[in-house]
Amino acid sequence: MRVSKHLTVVLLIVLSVLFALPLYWMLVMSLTPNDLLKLSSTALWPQAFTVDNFLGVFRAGLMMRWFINSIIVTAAATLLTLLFHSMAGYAFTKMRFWGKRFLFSFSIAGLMVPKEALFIPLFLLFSNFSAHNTYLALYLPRVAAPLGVFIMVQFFRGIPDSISEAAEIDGASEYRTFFQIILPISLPAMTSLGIFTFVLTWNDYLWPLVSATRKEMFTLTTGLASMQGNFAQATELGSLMARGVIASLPLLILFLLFQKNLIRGISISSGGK
Amino acid sequence: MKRLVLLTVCLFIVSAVFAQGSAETAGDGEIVLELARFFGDPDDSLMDSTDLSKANSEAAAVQILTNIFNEEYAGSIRVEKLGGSEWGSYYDQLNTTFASGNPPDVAVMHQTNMPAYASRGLLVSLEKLLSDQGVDMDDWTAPARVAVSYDGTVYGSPFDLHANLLHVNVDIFKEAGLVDAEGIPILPTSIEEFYAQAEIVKQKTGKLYWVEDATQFPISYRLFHTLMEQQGVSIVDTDTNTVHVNTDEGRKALTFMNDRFSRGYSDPNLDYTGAEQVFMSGGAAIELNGTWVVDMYNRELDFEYRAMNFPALMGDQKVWASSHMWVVPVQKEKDAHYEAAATFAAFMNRHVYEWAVGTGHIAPNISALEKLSTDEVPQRANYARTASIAATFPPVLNYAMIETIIKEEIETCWLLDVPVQQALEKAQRRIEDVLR
Amino acid sequence: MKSRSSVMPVVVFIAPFMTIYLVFQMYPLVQAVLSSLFSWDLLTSGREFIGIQNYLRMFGDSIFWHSFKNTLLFVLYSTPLLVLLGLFFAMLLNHSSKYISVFRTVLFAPYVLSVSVTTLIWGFMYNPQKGLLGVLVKTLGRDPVYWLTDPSLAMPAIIYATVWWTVGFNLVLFLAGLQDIDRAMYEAAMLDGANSIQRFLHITVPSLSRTFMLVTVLQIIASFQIFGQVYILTRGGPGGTTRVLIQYIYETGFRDYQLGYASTMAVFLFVVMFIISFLQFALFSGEKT
Repeated sequence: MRVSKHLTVVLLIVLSVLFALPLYWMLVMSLTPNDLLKLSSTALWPQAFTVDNFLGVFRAGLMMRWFINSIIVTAAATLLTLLFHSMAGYAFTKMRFWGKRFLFSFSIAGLMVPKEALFIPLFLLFSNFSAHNTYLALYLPRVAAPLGVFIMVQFFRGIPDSISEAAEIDGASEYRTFFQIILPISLPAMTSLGIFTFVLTWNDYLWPLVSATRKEMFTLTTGLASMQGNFAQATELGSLMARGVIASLPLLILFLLFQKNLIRGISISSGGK
Repeated sequence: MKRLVLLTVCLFIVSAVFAQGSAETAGDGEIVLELARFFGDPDDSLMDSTDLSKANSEAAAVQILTNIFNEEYAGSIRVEKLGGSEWGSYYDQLNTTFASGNPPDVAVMHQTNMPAYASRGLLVSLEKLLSDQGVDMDDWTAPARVAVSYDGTVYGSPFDLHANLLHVNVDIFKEAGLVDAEGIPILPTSIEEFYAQAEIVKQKTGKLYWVEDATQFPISYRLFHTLMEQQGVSIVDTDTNTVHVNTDEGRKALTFMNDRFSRGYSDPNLDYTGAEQVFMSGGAAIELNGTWVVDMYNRELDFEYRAMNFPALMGDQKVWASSHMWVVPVQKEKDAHYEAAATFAAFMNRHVYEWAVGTGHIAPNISALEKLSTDEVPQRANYARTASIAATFPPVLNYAMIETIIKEEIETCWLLDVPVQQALEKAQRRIEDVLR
Repeated sequence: MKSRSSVMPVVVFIAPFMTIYLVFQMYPLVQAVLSSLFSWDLLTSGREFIGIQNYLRMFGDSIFWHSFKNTLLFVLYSTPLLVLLGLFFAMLLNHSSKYISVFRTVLFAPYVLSVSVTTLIWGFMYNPQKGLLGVLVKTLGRDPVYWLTDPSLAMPAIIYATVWWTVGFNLVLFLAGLQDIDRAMYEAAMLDGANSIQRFLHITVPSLSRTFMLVTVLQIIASFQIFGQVYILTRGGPGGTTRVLIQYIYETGFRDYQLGYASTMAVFLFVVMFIISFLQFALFSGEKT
């Protein structure tokens, strides 16, 4: 038992180093002057230290604009998902109405639709309304994925009916019951769903690639992708890596803060727990 | 929880405001032109520069020219770049803008890709617009005139002619004894000479004779095109709508291309930057690449470098070439700024000299060509002949597909050991499907 | 049993989601099926009804099958790797208690990165001249390895980068599953003299079977939709060996202007996913009884 425990820790240390190394390397390059990177980019410690690469990002280019775009799109998608999906989820679990079973199954069937294959009809839909290159186009399709409803239903099922019934006996309307009693106790599930949606939206690639063609409407994900694989790799390596670091930091910080919620979100979403 | 609702409402408002803000809202009658182009973005330090002496790459040159235009026309026209800078997906994204009803006001295109748009009525005829801007179309070279025309109408303002060159490490050629009395490398003029030289370089220097991007961008396709044209055959004959890939000429060309790798004179796994890195670090005698790297090599290499015309390996001296041009898309849904767009297109045509000097491309205007030769811009005399041996792809409506098919199928020979005959047959069949 | 809820609240609660769901998820699905019956030019929106010709073309299109094969290969190789490594990592983490959160954080962190950051890092990791892996190979005294341009290595390289990027997701699912197993069962087994392998086979494996199934299915669905890594890292090369189905759909629609045909292939993908999801339900419901 002792031996295997030590072995496990050693294995975990090795694995963690392997997993952290690429990220660490990106950070090192982002702090190294571009000229030095031309000679060698494989040092594991900055051969000379500079923050110019980061300053350059703020001085020129659209990185900051993309950053704001990503924040707006992600926040909108997350908030709308939280609100609409929790409402629908509540109706599907705690309200009684004709056709409920059908509507719920119909909603959940959407889980089977591969999101990435929907981009052509979605593109045409927004083209018809000349609605591309707007924030609306970037976040609304994300709100349509029924995963959130599924998660919230899983959660609401665990709340005893007596709570909402008691509220209604006290004369509270359905709305009051939901917003003032149910939502507050749903905070853990909502946070999980929120973080989960945030990560997925922030990382969306194909849809923003198709919908946002104006450079000012790129998200960080598509903007950063547009800088890779140039014919004449015009952007310098250090600057490029600095952009990579800036693009990952918000998510990494968010993850460190809300790690537990995200992980819970993942396990609820799968119906596992 | 009210806060959640409130926050959502606020976000709606904010996003609506922002979305409006990104539309054309220049004050004082200033027209904002959306520009779509590839060529990449230069270093952050050059993004706002108007100093042409710093134009040391396509990305820098085109950005600086645009900045100069914006300065010259400040208050009346401002050009803003649209979309990503990535070369490989440029047309995919451009198509997206057409389909969503928001094409750019002005865009760069290759000669090979323009017909697809012109034939669909998506481009504005520029004859009158450009001459109104004082562009002298008689100053355009004959190939440039062909490049920008479709069905007898001018749809583009020519920017350059670009072609494949051989980028030569003269030091290696000297070491191998393959130079003439003046120390100029002697290039092979047949396949036999090619292999003889390659063997000598291998024996005497241990270096690779030849490198090219054989996996990533369509550089190898361009070599195939070159070798076909040298044998007097076009890949596609637009008059008869026939494909000439699976032919004796195709076999000869592809067999040769493949043998260079299997005999160890070249490396089949290099991508674009890989080939560049091997050549720049002195690991190969020759790199096959375009005109666009001439000035970068001329400046940065620490061995003796010479840009040279592609030699006649299989008959006539011909080489792959194409043109960049500026086109003006037809606007359906928003205010058309054709005149302003033509002003920009004309401006770029007036500055083809600066573009050629900054990149290595061949100018499409006769006057600029003359100026380039009298000014003795480095290396230009060494590949002056390329302009007259340029062989472009005939006008087809699905060029992007055809190029991908050839690139992909010929690659399978050296990457996947597919027999030459099989690759040719498959490419032939796929292109025939496209043309049908 | 309570009476039915009044109509108005039900509508208010369901309508926002249902509207968005219908417009942006279900309508596009129908639209995809419809447009697959047309020859539809992206640039001019010119369209012509051609019946099932797109489907006939698809079944005879070697590039379509090749892309589908590449997608299947990706699914077949990446799924077991991602599932088993996720399980393995989770078991390691379940073992040690003190620093578990540190290790979990590190192993999970790449999952929150966007695909373009992943490709940025790995594109350079794999660079034969500039990347860390390139140098590693050099120090071992080998010839440079062309991770992304050698046909036999490109797909494995993409799979490896994907494992690094997403294995954390599976890890978390397994970890949750493992932590649900009643400690007492292990203790009882230990008293009975069962060794660690026996305990794994007789307690862990059966208790985790549901999670295992679930992770596998989720992984298959995710893997089928692979696009970003390939599109940015290799663009389907070298020699078309990494072109996947979503990329071919994208190229057909947006490079070759053929929206109708692109939709046809999207419909094909829907059908495949439906079959897989159906099998999932069949397996799960079978298990419950």
